[in-house]
Amino acid sequence: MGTTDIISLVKNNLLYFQMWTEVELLQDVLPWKGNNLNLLKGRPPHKLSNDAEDTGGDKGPSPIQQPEFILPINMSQYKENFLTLECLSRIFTQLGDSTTERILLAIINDDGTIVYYFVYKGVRKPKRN
Amino acid sequence: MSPLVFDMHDIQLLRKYGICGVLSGTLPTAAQQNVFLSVPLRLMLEDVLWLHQNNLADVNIIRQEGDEIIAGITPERGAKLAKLVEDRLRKSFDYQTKFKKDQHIAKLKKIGIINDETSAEELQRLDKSNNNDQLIESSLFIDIADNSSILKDDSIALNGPSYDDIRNLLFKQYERSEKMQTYFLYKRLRDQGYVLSPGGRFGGKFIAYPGDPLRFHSHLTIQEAIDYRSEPIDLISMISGARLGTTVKKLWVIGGVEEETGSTHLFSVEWAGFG
Repeated sequence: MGTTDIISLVKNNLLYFQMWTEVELLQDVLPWKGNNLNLLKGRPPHKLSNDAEDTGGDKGPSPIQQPEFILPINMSQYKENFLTLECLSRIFTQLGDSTTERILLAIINDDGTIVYYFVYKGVRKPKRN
Repeated sequence: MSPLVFDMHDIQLLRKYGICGVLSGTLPTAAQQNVFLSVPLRLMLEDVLWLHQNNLADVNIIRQEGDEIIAGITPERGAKLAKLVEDRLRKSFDYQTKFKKDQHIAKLKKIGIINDETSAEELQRLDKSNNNDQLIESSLFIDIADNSSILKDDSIALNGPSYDDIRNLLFKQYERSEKMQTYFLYKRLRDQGYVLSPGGRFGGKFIAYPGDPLRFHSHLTIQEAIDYRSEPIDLISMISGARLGTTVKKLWVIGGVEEETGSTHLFSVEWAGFG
């Protein structure tokens, strides 16, 4: 699938299936091996299970979730030397802002299913539970 | 080739430096049952490189194969070695026998069969009547030496190869079976204070603990290094690895070294919790 196709597929999946809000395409583009990489930005409907535990008591109304940055990518692209460590580094430095510590990888299979994985820069503790 | 450590004191010291290894004595094929195992402690090659680089371990080069060393033992020296082993065994047997007899007497005293006034003849009679010697002999265990007196004599003495020679040799040896970049990942995580173990059980090259493995669960499954520029991340193995990681509470970590700057890049991956 082409770049624009996978972007709209992921955008629709987030908006209408995962019930995210404010999903929009960011303007910054990273040219990479003949493709253009774009990030989506959006807000999840509830706290994602990977988020750090709340610091205060959470009796009040549920706080607004922080926006996430999403990178749509074809599963098949990995065969063509596509997603390298260098590529990830560049995405973090050139597409995110300085506070970005994770991006959400939206991996599209050839049957249209999408799986979501968080990629963090550096090593990180697993969530507690 | 896997490095083995036989000496208990060395093993204790290594653990203080965050190198825990895997005990492999007696059941090498069931290494996951490692609470039941004994020396030798098997280390990873990376452990040895790191220890040597940090000046914590000396590396000796043995110029011959083990078989050749054994074949080169003269009859006189062989007899000497055999006597050494015999003496050591006899000492151990005597010690065990005395220990068991003392314990037996203490027991008899406790249940009141004998007391402090019991005569020596009576003690001897009791000792013989129960076939004690035979029983004790069948229960003695054979103490196996935990270091080699043969190798000690055969390693290269002073004015051998320099530190740099040995380091080069070690790294050359390592590169025959592993990617050099994988060692740099190991080194980076060690220097951050992680304790690393072999990671085959969780589908990785290493697993990383934030401290002693007896106190913490491991946090990370580290994959073999890939080239920073040219090697793609295998998305299929990333997906399966990160899913497995989520169920065992470990992040799936991939990394490599940027050759120009020498900096190590690591990324942790975990399932987002949906999709």
